[in-house]
Amino acid sequence: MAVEIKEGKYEYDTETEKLAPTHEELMHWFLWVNEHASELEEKYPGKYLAIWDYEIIAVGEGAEVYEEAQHRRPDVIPYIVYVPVEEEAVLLV
Amino acid sequence: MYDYRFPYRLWYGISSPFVTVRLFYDKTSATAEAYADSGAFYSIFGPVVAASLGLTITAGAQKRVRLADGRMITVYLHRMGFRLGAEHFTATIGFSDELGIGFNLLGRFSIFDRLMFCFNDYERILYVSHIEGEHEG
Repeated sequence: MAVEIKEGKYEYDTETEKLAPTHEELMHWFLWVNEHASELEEKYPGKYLAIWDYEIIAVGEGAEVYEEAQHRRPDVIPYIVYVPVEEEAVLLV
Repeated sequence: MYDYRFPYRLWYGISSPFVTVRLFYDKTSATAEAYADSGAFYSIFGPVVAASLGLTITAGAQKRVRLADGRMITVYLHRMGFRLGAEHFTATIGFSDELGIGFNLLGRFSIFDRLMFCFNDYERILYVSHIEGEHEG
């Protein structure tokens, strides 16, 4: 896969012509989800979120989240995060 | 020393070790996160990641696996590019729509021989390091 770094934050995949976050940028988004976990638990339990640049660009209960994200931002590969329901978090213990 | 540092994800007051990964399959890729599960043999990703990759789950090699809760499920194994940070290699990743939880699981097979995971529950940080050595494709 051939990639170019854009603005130090994104990789441009020349095959798919889509942007994806660099690992460093993805870590910032990962930490952003951590910081907002309580808020996300309240708003989106059991939902998948497609995140791009600290913004939730799509929400869904299954694969449709990716389709919606592609509809909104066909130029990017979003970060997909699942927000569990409380019982699932307990299962992880 | 370590190469990557992932603070535990805190859901409902319970801290859990997640990592961010990128999977590559047939000229497409998906960015997701997975629960690092040292008790799991196979990595198991769900239908959302499969759809993001344009992957037909059932096209892979079929395996029956038993979960920690005793259930048997069918997992389909696929070879694909796997990336965590700057570590990029080909891995065998299982996909299933029977897992019953929304999370993806990162298991040991074809991953833990390339990357070393240190679960520091005191600091609530998962440390990940590259393992030096010659690896099979």
